Amino acid sequence: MTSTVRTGGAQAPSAPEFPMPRAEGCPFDPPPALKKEQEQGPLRKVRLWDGSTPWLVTRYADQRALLADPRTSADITRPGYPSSAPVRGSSFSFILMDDPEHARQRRMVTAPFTIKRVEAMRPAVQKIVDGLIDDMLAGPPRADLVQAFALPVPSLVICELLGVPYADHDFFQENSKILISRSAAPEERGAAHAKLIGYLDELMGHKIARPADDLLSGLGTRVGAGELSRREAAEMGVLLLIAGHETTANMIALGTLALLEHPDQLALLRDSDDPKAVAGAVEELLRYLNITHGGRRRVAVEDIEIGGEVIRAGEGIIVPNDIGNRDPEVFADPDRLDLGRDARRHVAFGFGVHQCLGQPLARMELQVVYSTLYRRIPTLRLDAGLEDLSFKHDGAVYGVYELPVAW
Amino acid sequence: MKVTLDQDKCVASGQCVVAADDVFDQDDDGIAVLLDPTPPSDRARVLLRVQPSEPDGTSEASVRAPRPGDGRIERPGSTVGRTR
Repeated sequence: MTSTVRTGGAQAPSAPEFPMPRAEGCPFDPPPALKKEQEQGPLRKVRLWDGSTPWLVTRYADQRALLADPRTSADITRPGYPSSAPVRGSSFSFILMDDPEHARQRRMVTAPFTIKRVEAMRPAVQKIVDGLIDDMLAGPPRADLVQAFALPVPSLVICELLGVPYADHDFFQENSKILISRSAAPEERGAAHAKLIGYLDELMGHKIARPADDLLSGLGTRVGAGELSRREAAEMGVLLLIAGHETTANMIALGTLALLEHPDQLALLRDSDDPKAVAGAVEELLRYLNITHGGRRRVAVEDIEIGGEVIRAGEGIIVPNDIGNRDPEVFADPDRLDLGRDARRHVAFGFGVHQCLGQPLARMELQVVYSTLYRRIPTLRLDAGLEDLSFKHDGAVYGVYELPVAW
Repeated sequence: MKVTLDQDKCVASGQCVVAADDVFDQDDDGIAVLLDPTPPSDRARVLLRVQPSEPDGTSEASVRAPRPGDGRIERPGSTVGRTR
């Protein structure tokens, strides 16, 4: 097998298609074919929608090293970049840029995500969570947890932080869903993106005219000072709005499903009032579910050697963190959900300069949610068969479309 | 032990503060600030976890413990190397 791996280029004609399907009945596990690639070697080739054959970096340690390696680029316009769909438009948010411009723009929006400021938001998040649970308990004893709880919690929080009116949530949730869907046509996605940019641009106009104490107003000030174009500010707003609610919402709903399917683990959370145990449980759920399942994308700007093989400058690189988080070299019995384990090394938020900038906020929201929901609704149960649920195989962010629950 | 911090490489994820708030803080923009450059050596286990990446990568903080030859702390098993 070693010789096959070494001649990675020659392996290309038979390179498996990426992304790969998950196994029927195993909604929490990465695709079996992807796990198989990990077993076969640290560096494999896969085939994308456009016929290109980028490298797949299968193991945890190499994934971290590559994501932190300045010889890789996240610039989607660079030849060889392994995009997940046809690249449209000419304006992108900073997650698809390299330093120094990436760092310059990113640092404009890091302030609200410091540990201190996130901690200061905890009581407000607790109030939102309790309020939504009150509403659920006041109605009939069943609901779609996605609509009643999982989506509103992070949407309310990010709206408050950015200064976006929550009343517009139907509009931005609907268009976010299209924008990050793999199955939507490129034209559809382009239209959704244009609508969101238009919306944020208009909002930015209001913030510039009448600044408030929120993140968009802060960006508006920078636009006024000439540090940022209005278009760049709108791109950032769209990025933060989407990243702020899609990811956490899916972690809440899919995490709840995983816990309902592992009642012994759910009991650990429900019966614990130790914040450290709750924080540990959040890290393990992040590791186990790794909802950003499309693989981080990079292109090599210089030759990079991995275990005797060389990724040439200009070749695409895909880093599937879902199997990195299931690497048996790093996590013992990796396919087991074990809330008691130390999972803090996981790469669910990525790694290196592009790692999730909202991770302190995501962690805090999930800590509040997981430590509250099952305690306040101890009889919570799935109101459908696992096989009846529809999963977001087609989304950039994995999750469950609806989660019927009863209590 | 001795702790050094390269603020230019900080990505403002705040994980150093979560791991060791007696050693690290963040400024208003989230950039790491070193509170104690010489913490007691019994903090080594926690502090080594703070250092997340390769020497030429994006460490939030580079943590060095004095040892024979003052070598860099070994990072677990990546096979990524330099070609040249």
